[in-house]
Amino acid sequence: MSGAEMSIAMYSVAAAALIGLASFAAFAMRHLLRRILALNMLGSAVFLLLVAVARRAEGPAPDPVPHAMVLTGIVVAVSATAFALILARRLYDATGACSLDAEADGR
Amino acid sequence: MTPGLLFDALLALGLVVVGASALFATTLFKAVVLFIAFGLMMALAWVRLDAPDIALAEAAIGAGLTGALMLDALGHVAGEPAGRRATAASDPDDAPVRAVPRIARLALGAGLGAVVGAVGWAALTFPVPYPGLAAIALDAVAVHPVSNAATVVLLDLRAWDTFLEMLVLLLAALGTLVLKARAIHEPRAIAPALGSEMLDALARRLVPLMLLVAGYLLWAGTARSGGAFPAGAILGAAGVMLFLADIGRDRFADTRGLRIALGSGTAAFLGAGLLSLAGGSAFLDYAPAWTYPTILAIEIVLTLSIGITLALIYGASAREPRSPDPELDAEEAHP
Repeated sequence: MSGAEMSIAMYSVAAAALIGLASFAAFAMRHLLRRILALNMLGSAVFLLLVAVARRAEGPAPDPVPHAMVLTGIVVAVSATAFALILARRLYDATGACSLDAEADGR
Repeated sequence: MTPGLLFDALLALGLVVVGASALFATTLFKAVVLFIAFGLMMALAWVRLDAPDIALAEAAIGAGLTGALMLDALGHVAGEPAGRRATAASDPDDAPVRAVPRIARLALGAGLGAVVGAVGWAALTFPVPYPGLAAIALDAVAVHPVSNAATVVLLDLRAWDTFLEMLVLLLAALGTLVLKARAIHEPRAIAPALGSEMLDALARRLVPLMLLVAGYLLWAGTARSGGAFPAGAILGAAGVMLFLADIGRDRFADTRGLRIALGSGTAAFLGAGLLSLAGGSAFLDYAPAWTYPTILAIEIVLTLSIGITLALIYGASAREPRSPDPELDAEEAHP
């Protein structure tokens, strides 16, 4: 395995680990901000996996198609995150709680 | 082990450690700060993976804008709701993992462990050269008037994807603005100034530089790293800077011009697609003689649209003065 291949393998493994950790947090957390943060990080981990795989393409340059997908993906991720955050804030304004756990809110 | 390989090993390990620390931090503030650090490390990883366009966008958006949005949201939900009894759930520092019982957590962990194993195995055993679009795309880029591969894919080969992506951005921005408009308790005019003298001086020096960098990235994007997405991201960051320093706040008010800017990215693609249809070819399949000017025109509109949309999204989420009287809230909600 060449040095470049080893680097790509390490980033791929890191991406796989982050996918697992962020998914766990997105499911297991109660506070909505933590869940939104976890979903955002899950997106970053998938982007990392895509670009690491794109680097494996043979030839002078990495595969530009996943690069373009990730570039648009980052902009979509931040706009979706902003929307999710403002929904969480409206929920907090309405109920005084920042979770979807009805029992914990005392109602 | 070469220095490059050592750096990659440390960065890959650091990403997992900092990412996990952000996810499972004891307090939400710690979590957000570590998340911003994670975004900056991601930008380094993009550089190491030969994706400088993504690195530029990630540094401005992933670390900067998303971090600022999270900090603002944290400031909003961490304060005690005015006039309401604070409930346990409003405590921002509650234990990180609590939503599901222990058994479910174990099952979830085991299932996700299997997913991690499968994803890692798939990534490591991926065939090289892999069956994909790389060869087709790079062949097309070689004879294309625009030489930056990412720009060619974004604005020509996969222009449909980018067109619909601009639509997603538009919808998210509209959703944010609508929710914000309904949440206003008091007129903007009496909002307390957020800026300090330091911030004001910094913004007045940095924002012109940021505009210059955005302009350069936009122009360079046809030939080398850059293009509408990194340039728009930096333009958006400049807008956030102006918001923070409280400069020209009234310009960001909900005006007709800004609404046009929100939709202009989608409109640019629609216009280019209709022109190509009128020319007798498929939607967004530009005539060869018109490819370069069309792409340049779309890039310019896209940069402005992305920049203004990102700045507006932040502006809509920026901290609002809260009404001290909950009954006043109710009245204002139903005038």
